[in-house]
Amino acid sequence: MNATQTIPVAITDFTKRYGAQEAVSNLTLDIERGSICGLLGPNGSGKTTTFKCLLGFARPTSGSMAIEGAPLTPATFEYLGYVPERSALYEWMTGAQHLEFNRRTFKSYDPKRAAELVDLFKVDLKKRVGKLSKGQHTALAIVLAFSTRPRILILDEPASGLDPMFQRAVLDLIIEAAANGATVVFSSHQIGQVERAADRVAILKNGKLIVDGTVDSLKGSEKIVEAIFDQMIPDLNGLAVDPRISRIVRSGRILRAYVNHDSEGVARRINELAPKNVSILDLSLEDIFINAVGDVAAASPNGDR
Amino acid sequence: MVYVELLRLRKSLMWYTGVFAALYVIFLLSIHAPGATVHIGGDISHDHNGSIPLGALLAGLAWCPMIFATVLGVSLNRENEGVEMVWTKPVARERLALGYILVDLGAIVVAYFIALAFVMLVLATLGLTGLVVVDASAARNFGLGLGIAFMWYGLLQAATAWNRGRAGLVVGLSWAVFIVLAPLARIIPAGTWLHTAVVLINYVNPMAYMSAISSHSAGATNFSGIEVRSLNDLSFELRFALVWTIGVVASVIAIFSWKRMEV
Repeated sequence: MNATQTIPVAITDFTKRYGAQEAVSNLTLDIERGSICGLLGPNGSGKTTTFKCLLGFARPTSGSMAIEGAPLTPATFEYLGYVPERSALYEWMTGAQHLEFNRRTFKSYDPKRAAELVDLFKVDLKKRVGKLSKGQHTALAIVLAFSTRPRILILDEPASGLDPMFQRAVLDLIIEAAANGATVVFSSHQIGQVERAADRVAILKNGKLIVDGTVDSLKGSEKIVEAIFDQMIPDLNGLAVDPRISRIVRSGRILRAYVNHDSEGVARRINELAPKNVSILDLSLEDIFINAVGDVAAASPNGDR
Repeated sequence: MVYVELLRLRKSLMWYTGVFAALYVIFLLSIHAPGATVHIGGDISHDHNGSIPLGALLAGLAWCPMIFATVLGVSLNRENEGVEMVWTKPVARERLALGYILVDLGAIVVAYFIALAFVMLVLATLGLTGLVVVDASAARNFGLGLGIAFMWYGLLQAATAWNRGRAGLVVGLSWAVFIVLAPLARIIPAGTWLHTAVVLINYVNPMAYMSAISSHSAGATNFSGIEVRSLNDLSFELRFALVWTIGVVASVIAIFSWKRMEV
């Protein structure tokens, strides 16, 4: 099988334990060529652990991981670009020296591409990295990762610390890379970024894969009927047990019903409760995320592993 | 492949050379100070009919590459702060680590020559270079001195390559432990289990070999001021083989522990 036929990133039954704690449990995820997969999850859900094992920084306790059908080898990095969550740049080196390091180690290094990216992100190559802002750190890491035109990209919080203009530039780069056939796996706490770029989403919670699907299919799976009341929300008259409704969320004077089917019928029924306004909304990725992980987990202050 | 380490070495060697340059300036100022007189003599020249054997100079100068080696001995540990950067290059980890160790060894050799150049410059300033004679012990002492430095370097790599941080602490501790251990073999009464234990531990103590190089260099005094009789009893060839073997084995352990480290 050649590179175009194999699955670019295949994670099969992957488990990683740190002592008694299971960071990731039985994760299976195949990411197709040209796909952009957004890996979401609250802090500590196992995203970074998955990336670490995928890149060989840690060893899986069980299960397997393959890049283009084979286990990771040093040669894999010739076509795999990575942006870590935490800056791994050498603080005492300049940006220019980082690029020189890439030039010397990658056969696939493209100096023209690197120059374009430096220009795009306005990275000051003469400055020592320790003197750069957090955003410029991230920008330099992105320049390094994309300067070899990799066909697989693993990006852990790639837009972290960047201003909105550069965040957009990163998303454009990701979309452009995928349009040219690259496979991208990226994590982000900013769901809007994932919604804009990803065609597929995988959500992890406590190390388990709880949602996996294309963005369109996930968003089309439910509708939200939202009602705003003038006064307190009245008695729901058995609405909670309506089989068309998967769950109801009350927030002050706002009622949201998550509906599997017949959203218009549910809207008519809620209208009988005399709200000020009723509307039928499409599910956003944020709704899907919060539905999946729950508010408490999403607000977890613990760092990711 | 070893670009980053070469940049680091360039910086370290510049500092190292700067120290010698500063010492030379101090030396020049002191000999040109009003009323200054220079007394020429000492154990080395007295013992050799006024000549200065190169072997004795190299034995004394062995401290310099050794100090430099302890600075470089944590190079793999330094990489661990941002190991994601270097481990995502298309180069095998063991090849990369071996490359680091080889260029570090090269820099230790350069450090030895810089120290020698400094001494020769001092002698030249005093018009004494003509007294320096290349004796039979020069190559031997150079090889042993370099081996001791490499042994310490390897031990530090093996102790620090597999974790993040704490390298400075390990280097400092290694100096304290090795300095204390070396003379203990002479202080503790022979025949006791503690003496036996200390003597055995001293086989992996570079400082113990340092005393051996000095007392075995032709006509040289014991520069370290420490004597470990058990090591001095060993033949030169065995000491030479031991320091290089320990250095190589420790470096191999460092390479594989670095390769297998999880971050």
